[in-house]
Amino acid sequence: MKCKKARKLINDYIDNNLKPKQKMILEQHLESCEECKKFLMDFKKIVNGAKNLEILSPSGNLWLKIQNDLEKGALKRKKWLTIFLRSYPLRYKIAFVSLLIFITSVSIIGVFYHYKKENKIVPYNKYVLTKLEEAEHHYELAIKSLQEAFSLIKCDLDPQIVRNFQENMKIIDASINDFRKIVQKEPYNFEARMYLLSAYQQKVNFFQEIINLKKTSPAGGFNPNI
Amino acid sequence: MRKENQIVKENDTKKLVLAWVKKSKEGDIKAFELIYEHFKTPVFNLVYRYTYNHAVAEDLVHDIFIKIFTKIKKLKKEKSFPNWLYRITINTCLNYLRKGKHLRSIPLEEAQNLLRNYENAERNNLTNEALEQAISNLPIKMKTVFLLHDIQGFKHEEIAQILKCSVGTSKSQLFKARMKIREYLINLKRGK
Repeated sequence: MKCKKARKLINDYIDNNLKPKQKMILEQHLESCEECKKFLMDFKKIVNGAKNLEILSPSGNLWLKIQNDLEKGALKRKKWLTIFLRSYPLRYKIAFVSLLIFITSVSIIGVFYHYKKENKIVPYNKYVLTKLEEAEHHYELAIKSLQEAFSLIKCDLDPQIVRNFQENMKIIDASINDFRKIVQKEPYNFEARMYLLSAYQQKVNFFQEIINLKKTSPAGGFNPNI
Repeated sequence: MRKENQIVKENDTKKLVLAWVKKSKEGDIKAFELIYEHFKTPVFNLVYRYTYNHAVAEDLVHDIFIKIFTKIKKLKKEKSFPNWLYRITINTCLNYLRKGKHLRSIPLEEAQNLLRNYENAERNNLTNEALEQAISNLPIKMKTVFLLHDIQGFKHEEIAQILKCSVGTSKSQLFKARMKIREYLINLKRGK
């Protein structure tokens, strides 16, 4: 048996992994080869030395640290971004963060210009305006009906009263238009919304008053001053 | 008789570990603490011999057990938990070494002491320091197999499962590792 082959067998011999026949052949070789015998001794020293190496222990508070982190849910915070930032070189981290900032900025600017271009209003403002439009619509319907009623009794009224009434209506309509413009520009302007609705209410009241005037006084004694 | 008792004891331990693994999968930290207590010493010794730094080894052991607890739910074969644990341990160490944070120079005084210890030691006795030094100089693959086989006491079949390699590869890496250690110790003795 050549020494090269014997040394490979020595490796298995130490670990008791040789077949009886191989073991016998190796032992015969070892009897006649001093070099391989020394090789066996060296390997035995290494294997026994490894078994007798100092057994080390982690410090007693390591579990407390692990437990603390588990209970705190530190793991949840350790998301993919943290793992990415910890695992890659600095240049990749900088490139990644820059890219993230760039994409975020482009998205924000894009959304801003989109709304500006389309003349869209942010959802909250849009909601307020929709509700106001609904209220206006109901007032418009009421006013339309009152106007029809007024046109029926108009000929029975004093022409001066009718003129005064119509002038007052023009003033109220102008107020409604002005307040509507303010509300469209500033939907969150509470005062403007209140004035707009109260202008509508005033218009309705006027119509009711003039119609009632016809009922209570056929002579048309209506005080046109408001 | 002693061997039979040892086998019974090993089987009992395996059953216990299996029960702890099942409970840990349900998020039971108390059961996980038992797993930690059972594996902390072999895992720490394995990690320490990759880093040769007590504080770094503790940090890595901390990360390993955190990783194990978070991923244990995904473990399908509960019986293969120990292999899985050692695979995570080795991968964590290799990642750490890959970052190059482990490189440390040995002070001259430390090297001289090492040589003196070796020279003063009895002819047939191998000092722990010299052997540790030889292990620390092994290439990673050889070191991993040597640590698992000669220090942790794993069989080649188990090492093959942990490292996902063949039994033959495990055997040849062990032979090369022992050869390298022998060579290192001979050179150390000669004062090279």
